[in-house]
Amino acid sequence: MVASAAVFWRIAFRNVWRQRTKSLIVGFILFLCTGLIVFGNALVDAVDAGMEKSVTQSVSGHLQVYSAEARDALSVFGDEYGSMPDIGVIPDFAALAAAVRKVENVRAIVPMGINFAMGQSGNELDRWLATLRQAVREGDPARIAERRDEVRAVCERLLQELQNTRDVAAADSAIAQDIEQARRAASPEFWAGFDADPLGSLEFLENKVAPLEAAMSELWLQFLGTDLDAFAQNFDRFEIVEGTAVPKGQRGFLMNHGFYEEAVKHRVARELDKMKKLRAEGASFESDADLRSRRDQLPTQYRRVLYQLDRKASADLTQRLRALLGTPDTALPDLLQSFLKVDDANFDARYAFFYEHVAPQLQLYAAKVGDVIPLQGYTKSGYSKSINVKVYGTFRFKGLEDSDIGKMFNLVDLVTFRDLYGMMTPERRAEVQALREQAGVKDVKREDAEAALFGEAAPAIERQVETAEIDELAGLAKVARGEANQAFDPAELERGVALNAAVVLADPTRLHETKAAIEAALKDAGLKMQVIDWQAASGMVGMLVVVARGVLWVIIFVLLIVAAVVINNSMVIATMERVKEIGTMRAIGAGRGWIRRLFLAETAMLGLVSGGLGAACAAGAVVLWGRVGLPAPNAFMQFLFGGPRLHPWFESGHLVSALVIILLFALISTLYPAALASRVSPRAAMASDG
Amino acid sequence: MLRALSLLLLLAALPLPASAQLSAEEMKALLGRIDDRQRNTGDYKALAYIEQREKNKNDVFFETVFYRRDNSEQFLILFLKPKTEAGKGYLRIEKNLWMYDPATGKWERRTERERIGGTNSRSQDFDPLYLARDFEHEYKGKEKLGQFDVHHIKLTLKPGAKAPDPIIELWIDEKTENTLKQQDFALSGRLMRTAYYPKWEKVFSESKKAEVYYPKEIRIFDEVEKENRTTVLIDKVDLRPLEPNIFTKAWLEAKSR
Repeated sequence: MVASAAVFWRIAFRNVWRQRTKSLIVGFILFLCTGLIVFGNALVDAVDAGMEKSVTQSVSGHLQVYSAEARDALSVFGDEYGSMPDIGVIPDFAALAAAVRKVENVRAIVPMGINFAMGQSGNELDRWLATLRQAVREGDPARIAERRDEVRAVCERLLQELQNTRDVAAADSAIAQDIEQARRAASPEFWAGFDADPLGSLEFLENKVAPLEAAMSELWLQFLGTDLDAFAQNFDRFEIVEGTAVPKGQRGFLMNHGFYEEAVKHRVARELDKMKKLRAEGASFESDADLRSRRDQLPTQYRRVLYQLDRKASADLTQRLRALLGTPDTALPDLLQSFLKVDDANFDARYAFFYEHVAPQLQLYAAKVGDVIPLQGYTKSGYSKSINVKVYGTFRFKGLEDSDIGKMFNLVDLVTFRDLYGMMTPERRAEVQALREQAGVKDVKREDAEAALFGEAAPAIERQVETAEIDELAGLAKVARGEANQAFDPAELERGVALNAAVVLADPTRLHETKAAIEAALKDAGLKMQVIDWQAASGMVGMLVVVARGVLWVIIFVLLIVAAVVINNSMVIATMERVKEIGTMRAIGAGRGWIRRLFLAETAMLGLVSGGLGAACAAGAVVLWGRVGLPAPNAFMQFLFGGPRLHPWFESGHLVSALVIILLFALISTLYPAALASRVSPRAAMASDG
Repeated sequence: MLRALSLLLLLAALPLPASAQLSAEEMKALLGRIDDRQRNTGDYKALAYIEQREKNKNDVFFETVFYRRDNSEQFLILFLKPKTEAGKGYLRIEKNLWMYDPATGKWERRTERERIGGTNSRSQDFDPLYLARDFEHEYKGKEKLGQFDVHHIKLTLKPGAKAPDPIIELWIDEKTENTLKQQDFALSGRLMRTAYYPKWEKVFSESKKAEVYYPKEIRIFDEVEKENRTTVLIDKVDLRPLEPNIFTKAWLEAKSR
C-alpha cells in the first residue's frame, strides 16, 4: 500500500517535472495569487487598524450616539459635499450620559458638536485702525500716540504704493481720487488735527483709506465644541503643542496646530514654509509646477509684509534688504518684491533671512496663543451670535500632524459652543411670539397670497398717515460685552444640549456587543437616539477600507479565474499528449479513479509548492515591512495609516485561507482534464501515434 | 429680506392719471417719475418688523430701525429685538459695509455677499434702482390682480447698468399707481422671487415738500426655495432730519453699548 502510494506520488512528481514549462507558468500564477491574498489582506488589515486608530483616538471614539430623528446621517468629517450634516440635537446630555455610563465596557462618553464661525475679516490697515480705535476708546494718550504714528506710517506707504501704481498703469480718475485720499491720510495737517477729532479722523481712515488696500481676507474656523477635559483624557492622540489647556471651568479656544500653521499664519511665511517642504521632498522650481506657481505668486504678496511693518521695522528692514540685494537706493516695496523672487539657488538663504529679520517684525499669526478672538456665526435659531474667546493654546493629534483630516477641527469649550450654536429656547420662542403678536403679522402662504392680499375682502390699498416719532433708543436693551475668560460651573457641561456624543470603550474588540447593549440601555431609558460605530461615523472616509478590501478581492478573483483557465488548458493539452501513457497505465491495471487522482495530485502538488512559496514570500515581506514600516506617501495616506508609517503584521489565518483557496481553485480547474484523462481506453492508447 | 426696506425709499409715489393701456412714452414717463421719487432728498427713519421663514430653519423675527440719508450711500440698520439682537447693527458708508456686535465690541468689515442679519438680503439690495435710465421697457398688457386692474410691465437691464436682478416684472395698480406685485428674474429667465405690496401709506415730507409713499406691508416669496418667505411690516416712518453724526461707528457704539 505504502509502496503503491510512493509510486503514485513519484509518477505525479515526474509528470510535473517533465512538463516544467507549463508547470512554471501555472505555478507562477498560483504563487502570485497566494502572495496577493496574504500580503493584500495584511495591508488592508493594517490600514483598517490604522484608520481605526486615527478616527477613534482623535474625534469619534469607538461609537457615536446622536438623535434618532436626525435629518442626515452623522459624519464627523463632513459629507461628500464637504458640509456638516444636520444631525439634530441631544436635548439633555446628562440623561444620555447616565444611561450610557451604566453599560459595561464603556470607559467614557464625551459630548460634542461641530460648527463654523468667522474669526477675522478685513485687511492689514483695518487691523491697525482697530488697534488705534481701541486705544482711543481707552483714552490712553501714550498708546494713542504710538498707534497713531504706526497708522500714519502705513498710510505713507500706501500713498507711495498708489503713486507707483499710477506711474506704471494708465492714469485714470479713480486712481487720482484714491491718491488724493491717501495723500490726505499721509499729510502732516491730517495728523496734526487727529487729536482734536480722533473719531472723525478714524471714520475717514476706515471708510476712505483702508479700502484702498486691496488685500482683504476672512478667517473661517471650524470647531468642535466639547468637554475639553474629558476630550483630553479620552482621546489618546490629543496633545498640546503651544500654550496650555483651557483651565477647568473656563471658556476657551484651542487652535489646531496644523490649521494654525497653514491658515492662521502670515500668508508669506506659510508660502515659504510650503515651498521649503516641497523642496525637502525633492521638488525643484524647474521640475515642479506647483512650486513654480507658488514662486510666481509670492512677490505679489509683498504688501502683506509692507503694511504690517511699523516705522522702525521698515527702516531697519530697508537697510538689511539693500545690503542683501546690493541695491542701495531702492525703496522698501521694490526691495520686498525683489526679495520674494526666489529660485533654487537663493531659496534657502532667503528663507533663513525671512525668519531671522522679517518674521520678528510681523504679526506672524492672525490670532496667536493668548489673544482674545471674536467668533461670529449664525445660530440654529437663525440669529447671529458673536463671542469673544481666549486662545489658550494649540494642539495636534499625534501622528496625524500632516493629514488634512487631522487638521480639520479646532476645539472650543462646550458652553461657548452652545452659545454659538444658539438653540431656540422656550424663552426665546415666547419672546419672538410676543413680538409677532405685537406687530400683528399674519402668515400668508404662497398659494393663497393673491386671493388673501388682493381679493374681494382686501382693504383699500392706500391711506394717509402723519410722520411719526420713533423713540427707538429708549427701549434699546443694553448689552454687556462678553468677558473672554468667563468662568462657568463645570457641572454645566453635563446639563444642556450636545449634537452628538463619542463613546470610548475599555475593550474595543467588544465593539459590536457593547453597541447592542448601549442601544438597549437607551431604549430602556426612553431616549430616541441612534448608535453607530466609528466606521459609519467616518462617513465616506470610513468606507475607504471597505472599498479597498473589495478592490483587493476583485483583483484576486480575476487572477484566480485566469489561473483556472490556464490550469484547465494546460491539463487538457497534457491529457492529449499523454494518451499513450495513460492507455498503457490503464492496460496494466490502473483504474479510471486512479488516473483521475493522478491528475488531481499533480495539480495539488503544484498548488502546494507554488502557493506555499507565494505565501512564504508574502509573509516574509509583511514581517519585513512590519518592522521597517511603509511610509505614507501623502497626508491622506498618513490618516489612513494612522501615522507616518504603516506597520502591517503577519496573520497565520491569512496564510491558511490563501492556501485553501488556491488549492480549491486549482483542483476545481483540474476536474475536467482529469475526467477526460480517466476516459482514455487502453485500445485508444495503442491506436494513437504518440 | 431687508431688500424690501430699500423699496420704501424707492417707491414714494405720486398719483398718476389713470389710463387703460400705456404707450411706450407713457410707460417710460411713469418709470421716470418713480425714478424721481427714488431720488427724494432728506432723511428717513422707519421702525420695521421683519419675519423670515425658511425651509428647515427656525423662523426669525426682528424689530429694527432703518436709517437712511438720501443722496448719500449711507444707511444704518439697528436691531432692537429680540433682546439677543439688541444693539447689533449694519452700517454702510459708501462701499464699506460694517457689522457691529455689542457683545464683542468689535466692528467687522463685511463683503457685499454678506447676508444682512442672516436674511436673504445683500448690501446691494439697498442701492436705488433707476427704472427708466437702466432698463429697457416692455408693456405686457392690462391685467387683473385680485380685484384690482393693473399694468404689467417688463423691465430688462441695459448692458453696463447695475442692479441686483437683470429682469423685473411689475404689476402697477391703475387707480393709485402703486406697485402691487414685483417678480425678479435671473438672466436665464428663471423666476427668483415674487413680492407683493398690498398696503401703501403716504406721508408728507418737509424736505421734499410733497407726499412720500411707502409700502406698509411687503410679502416676499422665494421662487427657488419655495418654502422660504419674508414679511416686512413698516410700523412707523419718520422723515424729520436725523442726527448729523448718525452714520458713524461712534454713534452706534455709543447707543448700543
